[in-house]
Amino acid sequence: MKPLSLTLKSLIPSTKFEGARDCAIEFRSFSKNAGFTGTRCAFTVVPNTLKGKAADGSEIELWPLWNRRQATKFNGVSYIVQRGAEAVYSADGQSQTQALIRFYLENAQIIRDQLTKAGLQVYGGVNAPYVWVQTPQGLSSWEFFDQLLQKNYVVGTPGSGFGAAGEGYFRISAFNSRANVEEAMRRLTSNL
Amino acid sequence: MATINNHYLKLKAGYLFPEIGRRVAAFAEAHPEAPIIKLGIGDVTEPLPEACRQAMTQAIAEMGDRNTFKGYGPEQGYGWLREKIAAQDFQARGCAIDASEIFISDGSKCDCGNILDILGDDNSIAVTDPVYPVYVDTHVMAGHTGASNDAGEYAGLTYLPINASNNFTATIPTQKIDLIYLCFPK
Repeated sequence: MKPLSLTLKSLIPSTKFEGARDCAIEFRSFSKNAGFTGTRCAFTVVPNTLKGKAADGSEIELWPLWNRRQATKFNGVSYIVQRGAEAVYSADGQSQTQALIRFYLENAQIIRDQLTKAGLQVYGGVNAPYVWVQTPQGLSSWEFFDQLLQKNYVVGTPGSGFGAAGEGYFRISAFNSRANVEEAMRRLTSNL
Repeated sequence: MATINNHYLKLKAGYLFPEIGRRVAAFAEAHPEAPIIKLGIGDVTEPLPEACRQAMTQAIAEMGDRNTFKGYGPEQGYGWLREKIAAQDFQARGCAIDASEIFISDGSKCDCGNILDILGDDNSIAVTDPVYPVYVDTHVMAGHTGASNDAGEYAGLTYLPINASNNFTATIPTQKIDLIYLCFPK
């Protein structure tokens, strides 16, 4: 669900969809929108109308089970970190996180534009922090990974690492400084 | 001798990101002069928002005062944070989600694995393909799958391919599915 929290235009949680309260659990985090990958804070939405089937065929609410699970095995997130997460919802926090999101999405736009210019077929990266690239000349995902690393000194993620259907694709992340993104794109467009 | 969870032996060698790290480290060692730029794992690079830093600094000061010191907090998270999330992320967008339905944790990856604690072992499971490894590997660890094939697919899981040939839209599975992960790393 991480890309969802980055969406600028339509941040619509899945639980908005009709009937979602009865069939969905939503996992969200502050990692990308507020830069919390090292600070650590997330949340899970377990609607109290959500049910599962017990061995005797009866329908049981999942909320009490998750509540019990957390109370038994988890001590909660540190007070300091939760105060940091709370600040995301203040007026200043909202404008600052929006600025962060905008910055990364501009990086994604640069990556999309430059890779397209280099003759690559690209997907995504519009309301998401990742650009999904078709590997050129029928290279496998890992072959393209090795080529970019050895020739351009640029590291991405082989699409095949996310599953068999990701073979032949490559993921470029927009999470980096503007200077690094521009330099990486300069290397790719001049020497692919 | 104590026995182990044999399902771990089914896991494919090298979680994706450690394998990337291994190849990058090997190349960097052989070419220490190469200025490598990492656009891989998707870790953020920009500093924490000032509002967050100020709030945490204030919280540290509270921890240094006997009158405002906090010990164990609620396992579900503090009410003031759950209220804000429910109000601003959900209710403000027309989603009827109550603060009591929000559980604060230290990461989505942890929760994705932990949720299996409360679900049965006999569910039929579908994942989109591509998918983040955590959604698949947690089921392998829990013994919900068979072995993997050469393409890295585990027996017993239903994979829903998403690529350019279907315009990145998964086909609804024809068989009955109990659990489906909606996750789009692309």
